[in-house]
Amino acid sequence: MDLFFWLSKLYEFIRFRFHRYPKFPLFHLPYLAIKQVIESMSVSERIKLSQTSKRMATFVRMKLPFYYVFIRDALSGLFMKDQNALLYCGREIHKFAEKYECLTSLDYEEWLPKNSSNLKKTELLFHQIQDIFPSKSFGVCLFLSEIFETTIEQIFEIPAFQKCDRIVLYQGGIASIHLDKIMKMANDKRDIVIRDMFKNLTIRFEKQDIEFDWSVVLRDVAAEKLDNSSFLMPASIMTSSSYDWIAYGQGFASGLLAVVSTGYIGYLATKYIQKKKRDVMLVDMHTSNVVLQGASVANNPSNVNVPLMLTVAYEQRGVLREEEYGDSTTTGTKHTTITGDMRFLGVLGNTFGKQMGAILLEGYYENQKFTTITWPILRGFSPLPILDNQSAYTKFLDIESMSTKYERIMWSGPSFDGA
Amino acid sequence: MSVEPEVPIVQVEEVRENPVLYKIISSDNHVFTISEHAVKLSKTLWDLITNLGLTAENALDNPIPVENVNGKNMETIVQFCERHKYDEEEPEYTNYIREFVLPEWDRQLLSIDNEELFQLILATNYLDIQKLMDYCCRVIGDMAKDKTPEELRIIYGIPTDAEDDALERSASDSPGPSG
Repeated sequence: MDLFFWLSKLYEFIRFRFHRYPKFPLFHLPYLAIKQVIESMSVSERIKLSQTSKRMATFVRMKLPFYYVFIRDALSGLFMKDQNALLYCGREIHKFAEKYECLTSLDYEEWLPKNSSNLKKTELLFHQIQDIFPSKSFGVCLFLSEIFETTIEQIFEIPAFQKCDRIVLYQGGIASIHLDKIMKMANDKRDIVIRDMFKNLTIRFEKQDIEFDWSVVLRDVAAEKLDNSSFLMPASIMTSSSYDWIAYGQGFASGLLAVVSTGYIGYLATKYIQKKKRDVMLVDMHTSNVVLQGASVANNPSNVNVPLMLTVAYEQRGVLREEEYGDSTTTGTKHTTITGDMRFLGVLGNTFGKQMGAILLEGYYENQKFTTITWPILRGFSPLPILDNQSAYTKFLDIESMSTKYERIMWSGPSFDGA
Repeated sequence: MSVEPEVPIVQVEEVRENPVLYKIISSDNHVFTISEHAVKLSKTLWDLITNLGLTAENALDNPIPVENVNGKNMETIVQFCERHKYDEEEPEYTNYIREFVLPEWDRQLLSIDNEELFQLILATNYLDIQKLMDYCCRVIGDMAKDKTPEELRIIYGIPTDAEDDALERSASDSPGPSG
């Protein structure tokens, strides 16, 4: 026992003995009033209240829709974003956690044995919180660059964590053997989300080497049909500020899983809602030659939330063309490939003396043709459709952090019919 | 229904603006007048008014007795309802935590001792005034701020598990109504 512990106990004793607390007979209130008092409390207050007695714990119990278990050694814990709360398994608090309501092991000492490992404490904390705030859905977030005390195998040997609905790999590299294990945990109900990683990494999956020399961020999102003409991608693409530019895509197309572009490299992932097949496109715009790499995704997903899996990769290279459109000249290399009922076009070239690149996507959804475009642009996005038959649901989001190294890249490319 | 007031009628200033007034008699025979908009905040009172068929013409001649609420609490309730009668409806809370800032005026109104607050909550619960209930509960919830579980036990008078068990045992050991 350290000195701090005993001093805090002494302080507590003196406070209880001499402080005059306001007294309010909570249990004498009607049931609904008690519930309402508890509802007015924050997560941390409810957690503390639940520790007073088992009876009170039943009052405090409340279902939450989703939260994360995050693993990063001593800074592991639970993150409830909507409730603005961070619950740590140890005494330390992350330096960026100030804006959240934070609880540490000091706030729930009884739940966590002192000599346990941080992973064990996190597991116990998770069970306790599941009792108070049961959630049908939760995610496990691994901060790969900050996990030294345990391994991915040990984390997912915990039965409770095996039931997670989302696995997020964040920051840092991962050995292909571990990645394969995680990818094999993918199923119809579990998303695999990869953020800020894969740099300088070659993974071998299903006898196919896939080289990643950029930081790829992808997020498995389900397209959601809003009405007859518009679709919404509920999640946009996450980004890393450490790269020159990152194009965001949202509402890209009904079948699109994610769009990410970092540096000169674009990443497209598609997901078909109605088909038992979906494709992933890797678009490499690193050189003057545009390389479209498509990786078919097997696994016959029948559910829109099926996570990404890469199986077979292929590549098509095209020829250089020069075309004039009104005042601007587009010189570039165009490549198209057809996958199912979607067609992709990658372009890299010069317009107005600026280097540009774009990825177009054309396809059909419910017998309606759509065309859309992703801009590897640097500032702002086009508010208006560029192409004649560009769908109304094409939408681009601005991004916070972009380099001033490049100017806004213009696109005045042709429609796909001429490609 | 006709109860003669023994104390002067309490007039809240805002009430005079509204032509339709209702009279409410508290359990200790204090009489209050309240405007139509204000009384609508209380589901119980408004149901009663609707069921009794009170109108603008006969409302003042037919005071509504409220046996469960004393004059002091009723005065607070009338003040609160008059103050908030034109408020827009609160949006449903979505993130599972009721987050709102208690306005200063209401905080002052509810700066009463805990026994009075307890009685006010019972009255509010009886009269079914959601907004006042929210505010009262927030005041009680605020007592939990920055407190340890042990402090919360003292403040809210929460029995320990052992005390709860003992209470349960004694309840099960005691003879029932027939025995």
